Amino acid sequence: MGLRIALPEGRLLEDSLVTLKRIGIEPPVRHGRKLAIEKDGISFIFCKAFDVPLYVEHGIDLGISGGDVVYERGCDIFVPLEMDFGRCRLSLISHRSKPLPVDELDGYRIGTKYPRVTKAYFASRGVSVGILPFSGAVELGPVLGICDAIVDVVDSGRTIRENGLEEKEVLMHVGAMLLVNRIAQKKHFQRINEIVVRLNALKESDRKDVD
Amino acid sequence: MNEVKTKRDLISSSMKVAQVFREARMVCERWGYSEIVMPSLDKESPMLKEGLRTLVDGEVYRVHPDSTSHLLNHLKGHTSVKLFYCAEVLDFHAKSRWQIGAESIREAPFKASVEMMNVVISLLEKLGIHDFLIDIGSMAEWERHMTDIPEHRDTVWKAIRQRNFGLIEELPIPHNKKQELWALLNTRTQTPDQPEIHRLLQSLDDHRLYMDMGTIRFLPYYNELVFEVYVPTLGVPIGGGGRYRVNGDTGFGFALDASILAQLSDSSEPLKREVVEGKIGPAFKRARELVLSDVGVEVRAWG
Repeated sequence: MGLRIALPEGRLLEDSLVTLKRIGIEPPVRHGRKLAIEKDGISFIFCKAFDVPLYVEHGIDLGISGGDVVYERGCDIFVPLEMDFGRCRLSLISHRSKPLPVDELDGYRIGTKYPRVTKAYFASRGVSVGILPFSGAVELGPVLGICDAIVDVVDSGRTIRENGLEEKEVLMHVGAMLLVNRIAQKKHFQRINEIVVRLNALKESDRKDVD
Repeated sequence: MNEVKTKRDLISSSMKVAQVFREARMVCERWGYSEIVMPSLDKESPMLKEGLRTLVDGEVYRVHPDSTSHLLNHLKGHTSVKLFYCAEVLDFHAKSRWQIGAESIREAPFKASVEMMNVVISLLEKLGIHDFLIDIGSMAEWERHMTDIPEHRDTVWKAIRQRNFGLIEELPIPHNKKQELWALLNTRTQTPDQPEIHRLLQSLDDHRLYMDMGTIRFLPYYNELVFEVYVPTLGVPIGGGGRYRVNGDTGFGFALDASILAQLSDSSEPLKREVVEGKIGPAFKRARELVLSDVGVEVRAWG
């Protein structure tokens, strides 16, 4: 069986396709909403960004996903490479006018799509918060007053600004990551190592160009 | 039209796991291992892994912890022992899985390694699983390569665990050291330089075994050879094991996931039974004699 690669729908898709193309893996042209397309012996699987680590953990050979999702899912997978696209930060956000020192948030309610990461972050600061698990449009939480703050991904910061919110603290900086299934790493040892080496070389050369 | 099943068929999946347990018992007993049955609860201890945490009379206990850690938590005495178990393990969220494992404790280390790998191979073959692969790594070999960079040990282990060389690239260590670690991580061969794994592979002489230095197991007691069992068509490992040291004792053990084995197993051969016909009393009396002589029976009685 050839390689199977899980790709994230959404903000990382375009850069993922371009990056694969630049290392010689020609992605298919996608017509309509077909979820799995085969090209040159490789199956490309298009799935929700949040599900990519799960697919990889359960048998899809490779995947690309954001670090935010990888840390949140906590799957048993290899993460050989962080790539230079999809860079953003996972931040604590609340009303512009509301001071919010993290160490004083005991008992506060935090809305997020990242309950695992959020819990771990506050626990590491010795603070016990209530988590309100959202699946999207998290910014509405503090705007509507159903939570005190949110933990979410910030890219340009436009959405939070337009909703009267601001970043209070950065939990972590994240970028797109290459994910590898543990058994696939053994089964396709040479091929996957080649892909990792080529992606790493591409990253290095892009960095040199920037310098 | 096929009936739409709304519930997992617990009975038939349980029968498959039980069949795997029967075969495992037979194989392990023939290799001279004695079955042990551990209690479902154990008092909280740093040695225990997994298990559902619960509070009883103000004390923390774990329900169905990982069997190897459970067993090692109670290891006493000085003589060598060879044990096996078929047990349920719960994780922190009460998700259940079935585990088959064996431990060879205080035996000569190399002999125990060779024997245990043979137990695993014969169990898999007995279950009709032939397309498996076993990758062998060495925690001790990695430790040896980190003796000159002790301050970066944690980062290197993290990098190995994630197979993330970027973490090593960022370390303030010489370039040739980074290359040495990268080369080690990518060592996968059937003719290794590492003397002990070389000797082990020679002794086992099986084309399904590899040395793979990317194979590691992060349980605190493993300190030497470790291995992982898998079939290439399945994306998750079947299990693994390795050599460990606990309270001054050395052991070698393995644990395999019985549910995955049941899924892969091709040993559905039914038990051969002798048909006993006759009046109900004498027929069952005869059947009892056969059962006591290890013969399976099917009684067709009347009266």
